[in-house]
Amino acid sequence: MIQGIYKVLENKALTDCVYKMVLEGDTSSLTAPGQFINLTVEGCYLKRPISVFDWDEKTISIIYKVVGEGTEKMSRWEAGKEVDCLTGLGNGFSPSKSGSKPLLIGGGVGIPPLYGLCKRLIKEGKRPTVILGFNTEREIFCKADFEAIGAETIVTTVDGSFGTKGFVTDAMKELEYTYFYTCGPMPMFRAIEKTATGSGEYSFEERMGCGFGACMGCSCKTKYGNKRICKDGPVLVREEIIW
Amino acid sequence: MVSTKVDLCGITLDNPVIPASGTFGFGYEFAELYDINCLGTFSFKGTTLESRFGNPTPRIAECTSGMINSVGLQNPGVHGVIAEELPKLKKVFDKKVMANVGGFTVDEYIECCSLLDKEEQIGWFEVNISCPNVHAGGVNFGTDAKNAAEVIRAVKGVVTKPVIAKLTPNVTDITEIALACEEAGADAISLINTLLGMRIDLKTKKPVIANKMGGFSGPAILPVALRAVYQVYDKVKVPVVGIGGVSSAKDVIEMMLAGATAVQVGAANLVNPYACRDIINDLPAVMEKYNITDLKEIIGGAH
Repeated sequence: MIQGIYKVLENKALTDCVYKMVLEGDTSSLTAPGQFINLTVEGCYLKRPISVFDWDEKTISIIYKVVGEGTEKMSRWEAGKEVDCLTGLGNGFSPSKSGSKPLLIGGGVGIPPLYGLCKRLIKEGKRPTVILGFNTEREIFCKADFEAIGAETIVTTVDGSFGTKGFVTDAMKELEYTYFYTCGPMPMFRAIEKTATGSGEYSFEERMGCGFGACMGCSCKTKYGNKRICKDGPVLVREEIIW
Repeated sequence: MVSTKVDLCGITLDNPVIPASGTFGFGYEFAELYDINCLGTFSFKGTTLESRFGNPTPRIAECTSGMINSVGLQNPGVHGVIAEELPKLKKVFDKKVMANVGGFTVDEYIECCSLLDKEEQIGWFEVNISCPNVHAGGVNFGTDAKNAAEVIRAVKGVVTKPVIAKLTPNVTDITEIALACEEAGADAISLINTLLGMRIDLKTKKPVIANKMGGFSGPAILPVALRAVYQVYDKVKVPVVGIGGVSSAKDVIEMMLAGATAVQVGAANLVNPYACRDIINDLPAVMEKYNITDLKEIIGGAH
């Protein structure tokens, strides 16, 4: 983890309430896809934890949904703004466990951290399949990003307005995969837990205080002992999760 | 040259800045960020006899200039602390640490403190009789002068190290509890623990925190803490450790003017992991600005 001042290079709407922000600054603390950063928002006491979509030597990209006061303020940030951030938080996914044909399943705003993972897997010669789940067509984002890096991309919408009608689990059933990675809402996780075969990783969300393991605000029980979602997670392996 | 040294129950602190219990773990994780030997000391995560998971999540709610937590004393238990946490701390911290201890019965406090008293790394006990997030059979040690005194007297009877009583502000008259603790042998009084508070989510129309209520901390409570420290300083002869909303070197000085010998920094560590280091670095310049050459001389200066 490092603390630093990051400059907003770009902040644009992808849908009605989902935004993509590119920040410039020290990215050396990011070591694995699925990690997150914690952004200071003016007038808000606690920082806002947002998962990393992608990063390179100089920039970090995040995709976030406006859900409250903090993210609403973030959506109005303009290029050039300087933001105090903690970066390189959390454990992230383990790309090395993927096998040759992993499955990535994202639901809504849980999709972004899977992009960095997908990019890594493709670079390593793996053939990932990606399922992106949305409620309806106008909420779709990131589809083109996954397609552009050559991932086999399946979109599901609950109302059937685009792609496969139904939930991500409806698209999972016929697929064969060596390992799975998922991020999204709890009801989706519970459905995946019933449907998925083999081993995999879930990236969890929780209300956090500090984001770096000090306050014990986001603890959960696992089969391997108590874990802090912010520090020991957000990614937990299937075998350790207590549902 | 200015002096930031203070004496807390016979142990000299290089400066009065002490990360508060529950915001600094057992120290070693912060040692990855900066050399924690710059601290006066720190109060480690509230430890109970048995290990505890604590309360269900969500445990955190944000407030204007502060936060509510309802962690519920999650800790590995005293045996885990002695076997695992203290050895890890020893590698990165050369000073005496403050052992924060919680309990549900007087016997638990006694057993937990007796075990920790043998550990040479520990300089003081901070006996938490004020956690707002745990409830045991209707007994609230910190809100009743007689019960508070009973715990402090019992702990004093079994330990060799100085005992600091950590008080809750959620009482009618905090000075009454402070006096009872002093009478029972407390070597110092620390205050305030968090204020009982809550938030309600307008979308779900339910409390944000799973346990409904929790402890409110952060800059918003500084005036309440200053008032309590000021009142208690007037009544007791033992040193007072000021806690509540301290986030800057100026806040440290203000708390000392109210009567604090040393000052704990809590929530600030969670929003800025470098908060205590920054405060300590800022102190000399802020002292010079206000014509203070020796910090210990300003203790209670506002009275």
